[in-house]
Amino acid sequence: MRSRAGKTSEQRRLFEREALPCLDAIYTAALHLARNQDDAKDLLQETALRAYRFFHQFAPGTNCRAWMLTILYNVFRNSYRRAAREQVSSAPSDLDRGLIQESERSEGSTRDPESLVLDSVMDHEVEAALDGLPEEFRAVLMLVDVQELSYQETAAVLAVPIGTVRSRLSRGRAIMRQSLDGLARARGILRS
Amino acid sequence: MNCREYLEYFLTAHADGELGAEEFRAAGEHLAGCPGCRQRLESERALKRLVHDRIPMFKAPAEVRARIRWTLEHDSGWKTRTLGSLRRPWVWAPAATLAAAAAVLAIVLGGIWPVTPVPVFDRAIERYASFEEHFEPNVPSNSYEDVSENYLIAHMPPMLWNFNPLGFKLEGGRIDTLPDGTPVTYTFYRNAGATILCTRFKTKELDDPPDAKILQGHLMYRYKGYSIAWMADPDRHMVCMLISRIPLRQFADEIAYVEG
Repeated sequence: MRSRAGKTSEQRRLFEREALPCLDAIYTAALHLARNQDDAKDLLQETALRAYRFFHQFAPGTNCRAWMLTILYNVFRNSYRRAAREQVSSAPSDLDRGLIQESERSEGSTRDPESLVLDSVMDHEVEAALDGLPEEFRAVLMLVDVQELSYQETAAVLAVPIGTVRSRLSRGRAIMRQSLDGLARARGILRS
Repeated sequence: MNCREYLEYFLTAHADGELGAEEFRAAGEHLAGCPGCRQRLESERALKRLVHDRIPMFKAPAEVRARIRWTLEHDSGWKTRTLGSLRRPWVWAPAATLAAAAAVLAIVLGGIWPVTPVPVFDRAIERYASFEEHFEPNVPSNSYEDVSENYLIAHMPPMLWNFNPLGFKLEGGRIDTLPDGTPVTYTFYRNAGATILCTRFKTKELDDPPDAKILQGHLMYRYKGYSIAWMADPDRHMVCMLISRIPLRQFADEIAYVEG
């Protein structure tokens, strides 16, 4: 039996400093999970408020983004039954780009000058290749390569062993490479 | 180590800087004598950079940020507004605060002050009481997936509460209509000592009923001997209620527990 006390102003300040800057990252992850804006907004809101409610459990100095992503995936798993998820179309064009405000994250993206194949690939083709991956491979690539989580953090978010993260990542990248090589071959950049 | 072993077991983690000390040493030894695998490592790093650089980050929508900020600014423990109502920013006026305090007192004093009737609660507890006697599913109900899929087909929300961790079994689901023709779902759970009903329906009027308590982040009500959790989603004009005879605080704790 306990009543819910308001957070101290210090905790609120800590939340503003640590958790609020993560909202873009959480929303991005929510969009990829929910595949539509409305559900992603709900997920983001639920995650942020839950993070606030349980903020006393967050250890300052650790990765707040990883902690909030763990909450997000929990909320998603508990709220969306597998049957419902499979009903949703998996076409990449489901993301309504006209309505979504985009924010380019890296200002000066460095590209490997030796990777002619990869340089020739358009942004939307990379996204399509990623979206085309089976869900479990896409999730690890998103968390490790886009959200910059460690294998251990990724394993915690997905509630799987680290070995599983490693093998799914390996497989996911191999499939992506095949898709992108296929594109390059079609353009005549790669010989078969 | 041969190339196949390196590529299959080490390459990915090597590109991500996730090899353990011993693995790192062994991988380094192999690469020293293998230009092919060195090239593959560079290629793997390039692919990682490609995904990192080309997959966009999206900005969190302004209205969601605003709602979260509102919560931070108005956090004072006992509140009588939920997430849904943050759409209509609400200014605390002294009169309103007194009225809210009086309403809470009414709960505490229990029968001394008259309970404000809430028709949507009355309807729901009437159904709940009849289901306690006997619940007859009217959709295929052998599993969560069955019920969920049938709700989805009927254009009702397919999300189901899972009270299994507390020893509850899903008895099944029903899709009915309310007196005004709106579809409503009833999902019923039972364990040795208690039952829970989850009901969802669309509504145009979405004011939260009066006399709420915020427990575990949910609007909770004790109404005519029943505990009710009220979750309104104004974006889709959908209400979800959880109803039980479980005591209020225990019910709130149990809902929070299965939410995870």
